[in-house]
Amino acid sequence: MIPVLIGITFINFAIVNLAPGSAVDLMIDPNMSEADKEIRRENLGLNDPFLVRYFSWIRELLRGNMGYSFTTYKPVRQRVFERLGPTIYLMGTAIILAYIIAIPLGILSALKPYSWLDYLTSFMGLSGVSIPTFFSGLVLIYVFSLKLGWLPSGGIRSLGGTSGIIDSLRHLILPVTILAFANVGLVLRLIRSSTLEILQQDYIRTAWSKGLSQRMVVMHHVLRNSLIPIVTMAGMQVPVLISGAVITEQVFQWPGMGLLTIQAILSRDYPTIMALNLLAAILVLIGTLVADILYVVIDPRIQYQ
Amino acid sequence: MSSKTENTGCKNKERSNNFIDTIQESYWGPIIKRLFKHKLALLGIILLSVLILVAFLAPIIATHDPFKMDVTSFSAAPSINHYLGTDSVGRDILSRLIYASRVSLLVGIGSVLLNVIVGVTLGGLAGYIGGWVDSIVMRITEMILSFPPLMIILVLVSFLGPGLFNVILVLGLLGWPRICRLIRAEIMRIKQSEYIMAANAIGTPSYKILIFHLLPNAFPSVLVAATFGAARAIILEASLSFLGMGVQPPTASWGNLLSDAQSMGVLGSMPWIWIPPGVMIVIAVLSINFVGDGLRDALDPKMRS
Repeated sequence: MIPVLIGITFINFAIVNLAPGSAVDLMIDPNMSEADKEIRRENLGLNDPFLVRYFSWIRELLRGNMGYSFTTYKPVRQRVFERLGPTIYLMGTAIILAYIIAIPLGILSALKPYSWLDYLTSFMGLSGVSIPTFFSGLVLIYVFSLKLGWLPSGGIRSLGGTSGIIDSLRHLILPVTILAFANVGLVLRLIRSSTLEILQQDYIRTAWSKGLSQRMVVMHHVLRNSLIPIVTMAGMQVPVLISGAVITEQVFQWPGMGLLTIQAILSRDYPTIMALNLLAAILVLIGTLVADILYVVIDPRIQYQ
Repeated sequence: MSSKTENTGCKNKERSNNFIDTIQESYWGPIIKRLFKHKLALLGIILLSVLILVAFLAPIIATHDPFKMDVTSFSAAPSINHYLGTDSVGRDILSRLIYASRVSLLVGIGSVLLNVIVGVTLGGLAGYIGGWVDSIVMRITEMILSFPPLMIILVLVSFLGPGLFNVILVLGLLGWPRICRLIRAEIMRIKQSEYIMAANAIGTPSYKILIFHLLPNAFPSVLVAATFGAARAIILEASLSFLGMGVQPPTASWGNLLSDAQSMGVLGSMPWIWIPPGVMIVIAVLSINFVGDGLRDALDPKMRS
């Protein structure tokens, strides 16, 4: 965990340093002579060896200083953290919705493998991962915003006017639908395969032979066990969700981390890019860690040595 | 499913000249049979074959030069002259769609090839040698997997410069950890088996054991992962091109054909510009995923009767 974290900061720093163009080019007067530019670089510490610059970056990072944006000159920390909320709001709602849909469908299709329901859910799951979010997003905007005019085409709330809960929910519906649909498939497949495996277990045979009803077997013996892999899944899904959010936020102009990423990349705003990458990677690590811990808490059969 | 595979084992002792019986003797025979029985996989194979054919025969099938601008019709609706209409500078949409299939297939095949080469080499070494080689390779995969894929790809592509070659390179060099971990796990599992012990006992050199005994046994799972990987690569390329960071116009890619729809005018009133490329992405990715799904079921040893 710690070596990986150090590696992540190192890769992050290295990538941005390999980037073409220099930070100085943006900060200095184009009329400056080459010698003056050199002095400026020297003063800013940009001529120091790579590792020296890396450690000074880490030192500042640990103090909570992520630098200043090249485009807005605001502190990057403030810029990035004000985008964290909207992204978590969007991703959280989407993932909860995805689980609500996927868990019952996954278990039902495992109970009757190769039935029409099983084919339908596996078709649905595969479409979820096969339809690019930008296309489904555009289709939904086209139908529900432009043609029917029922829902807003983007943003997190209406400019001016009413901005109550109803307004916020109306803005949430389309992007959440897209993100949830894209994630249902993965969860569904996982639940289905874990349920299929559990149905073969001896304790399920015992439960059937005791004469329990299907309802009892499924609710008490299958459900709780088949939910275990979901915990790991939730941790693994963080990177997928963040990636999905990049596109979805762009399509719906949702003011989250994803939209900021695109803006920062287009304007070559390196400090912001580095902070966003780092934050995303840390979110992923936290997700994995929480999943590991929950895994042990939920399943008493697993123990850390 | 299980009822249909009853006679695929080694039941038929008498050899007949029947083709079906001959292919049943081999390892791949039953697998191909099972693959073709999987309805969705069969559909995927058919659609994919058509697509590959279209990509190869693009100059013959295309009705227009994909770069030529028809000055008499800008943003024209579908008509007899242009079956799917023209874009904002008068290029024929259908011909651009046909040529764009080459880009997607190239990205799918190229980047997955790179993934497999890097993943199998590193995963094979990690699994076979173990020890510090294994820990280093595993830490690297963890680091790469910690970055949300789209974010890190966006950053790298924007630094290297957008374009088909760089997209393939970046997708290829970032997508290998899944395959690597898969190969490693398979090899660690197979390494314990008796026939490897036997090979060791008769003094087979390690590289021969790795190449002739371990890797072929890990092949089925790599094939499945590579198929899904190709689908993912095609979606990622389309997403990058949609965001303007992938394949650059005038070269047509399904993703960049869709990016015009980011303006509400095109989205609302010129559906012929953005619906066809979206549908093509969905068809391509869905059919590859169908094949992958079918392959997974067909190669699963548990499914053999």
